[in-house]
Amino acid sequence: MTAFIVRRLLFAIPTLLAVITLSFVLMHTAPGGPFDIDAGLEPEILENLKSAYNLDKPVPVQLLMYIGNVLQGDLGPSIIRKDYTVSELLSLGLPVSLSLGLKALSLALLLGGILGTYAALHQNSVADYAVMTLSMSGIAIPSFVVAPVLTLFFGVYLNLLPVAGWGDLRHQILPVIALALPQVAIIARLMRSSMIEVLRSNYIRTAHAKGLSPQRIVIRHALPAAILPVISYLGPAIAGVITGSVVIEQIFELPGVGRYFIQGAIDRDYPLVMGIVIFFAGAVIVMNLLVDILYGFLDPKIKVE
Amino acid sequence: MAEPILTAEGLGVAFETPDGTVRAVTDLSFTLNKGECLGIVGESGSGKSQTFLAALGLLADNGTASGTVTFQGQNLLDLTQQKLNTIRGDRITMIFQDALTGLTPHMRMGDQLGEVLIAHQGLTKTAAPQRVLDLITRLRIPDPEKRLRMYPHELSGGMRQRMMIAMALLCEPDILIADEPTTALDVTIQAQVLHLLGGLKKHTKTSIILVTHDLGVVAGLCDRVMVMYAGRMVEQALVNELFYDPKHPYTRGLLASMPRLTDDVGDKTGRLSAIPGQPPNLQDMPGGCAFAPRCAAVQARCHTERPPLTQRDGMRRLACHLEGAS
Repeated sequence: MTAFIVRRLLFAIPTLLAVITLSFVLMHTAPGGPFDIDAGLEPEILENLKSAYNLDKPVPVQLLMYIGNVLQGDLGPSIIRKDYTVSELLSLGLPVSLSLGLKALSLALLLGGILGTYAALHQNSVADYAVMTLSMSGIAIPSFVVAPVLTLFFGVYLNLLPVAGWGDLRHQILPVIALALPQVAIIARLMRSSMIEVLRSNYIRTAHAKGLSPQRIVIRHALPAAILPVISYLGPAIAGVITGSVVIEQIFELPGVGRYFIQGAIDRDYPLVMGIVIFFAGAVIVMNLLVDILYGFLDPKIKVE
Repeated sequence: MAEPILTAEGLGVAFETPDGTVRAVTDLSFTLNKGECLGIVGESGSGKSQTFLAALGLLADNGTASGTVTFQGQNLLDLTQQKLNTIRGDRITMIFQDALTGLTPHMRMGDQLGEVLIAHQGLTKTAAPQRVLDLITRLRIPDPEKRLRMYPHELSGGMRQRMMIAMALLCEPDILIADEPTTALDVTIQAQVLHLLGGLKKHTKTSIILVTHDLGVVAGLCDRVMVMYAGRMVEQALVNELFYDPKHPYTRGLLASMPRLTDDVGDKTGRLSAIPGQPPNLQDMPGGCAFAPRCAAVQARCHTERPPLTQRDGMRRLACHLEGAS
């Protein structure tokens, strides 16, 4: 088990290096630079600024220097937000993004799991079609459409919830829903199809022949097997929530990592964007590892070694 | 005097499929007596298994059952699933052919057995394991404590089937329905399982229904045999009567196709004998006797007129136009 985790973490290093290289090159290839907004700077000052951030050197050299710094745990200073280092900005945004993401993911698992199971148990009923239609819409309609509609309805018309900003729990309700919705939709569909398949299996017939209650059959005999595809989807789901949070935090004016990411990209704040990319990539790698470990617990046939 | 415990009258099982209605079982009537072992034989698709899945309310969603199956004065086909749950697993239990896919893969054997006692005898979670262990030990399963902690995939095929049987015996049922319990097992393991069922027949009052296409198993274990073809009963007799004096051409065909070590195999060519042709398509049944197209002794009226099932000498019932023919 420990050997498995260590090996997986070692495998993460080349992955991360590839992610860093790719994003670094892409970002530096994009036109523009961090000092474009300060129009009319003296050429000497511009040169000085560039050399202060090593921007005057060729990109491969910059990349190697950057990787060297990262290996020492230094993500560098933010070019635009001059009073902060990238690590400081990350630690400022992280609590907001994390609390949002975890809530959205839990909501997606819970609601998606329940809806999918219910639809599977009432296959081809009105309720089933309703869940599947809603879920199709949930996948098809992007969150940047859902979020403003939610805000308009609950925030403006009904005046029930704040439309934006960060404060108490009420501020989180709409962003969490908007963030969770596409995942609810996908998980409900996954859950439904795998549950239908499991309910047709021989051991469910055996369980019925034993005279067990339907609740026990679903919860104890069917669910642990039916949830496996959902668990393997958790990795992509987390990536989806991270991507979603970038948009959602922008719409709801939330001071999370996602908003720094957008701002950083617009400002060409290279170190800030790179820091967030590394953090997101690391989060996805770690979550995928957790999913694999979880798999070993749910399916006794899989031994994590 | 034989006392009936399970009686089926005019039982029919039909499935709605995209290609039309498939009648898996048609107008089937039979009785099972207390303490008796009844064998049901027939080819795949003859409706053997569906008969008993229907009786226990375990048909697939597109299946419907008609007629009556009476147990303790109530028609099982009329009962709600909730009512059925007080009978199946407790008074009537069923074991299935494939014990690997028939056991829940992610539950330990002890839990899968224990939950039967918890559901039917109101045992607590703490009391059930001891009772399970007692039974498993009585069934002479070696190293029972360790086995009960295992998952199905950690057990051998024979052990899984024995666990399945143990699961069916926990509540000392009135009827045990064994649906091809030995088919998926190799011969030595088959012997173990048959020995277990034989012991059950000898030492308990449980009636057994043995669904199989293995005539050897029937001969060794059953008191009475019912032969099914294309969803109907074609012949029924005491085991000795049937084996020594089969009347229906289909039964004869089945017996003739059993390989024997003693005689020159089949005919002189050294081939095993087989019944020519295929069972009929259940969606498109021939008008007369369903077996007519494959029958060696077929007569003109067999193709137009379905022979009724009639009582013959002794315990025999037969559906064939060849009156007592030899």
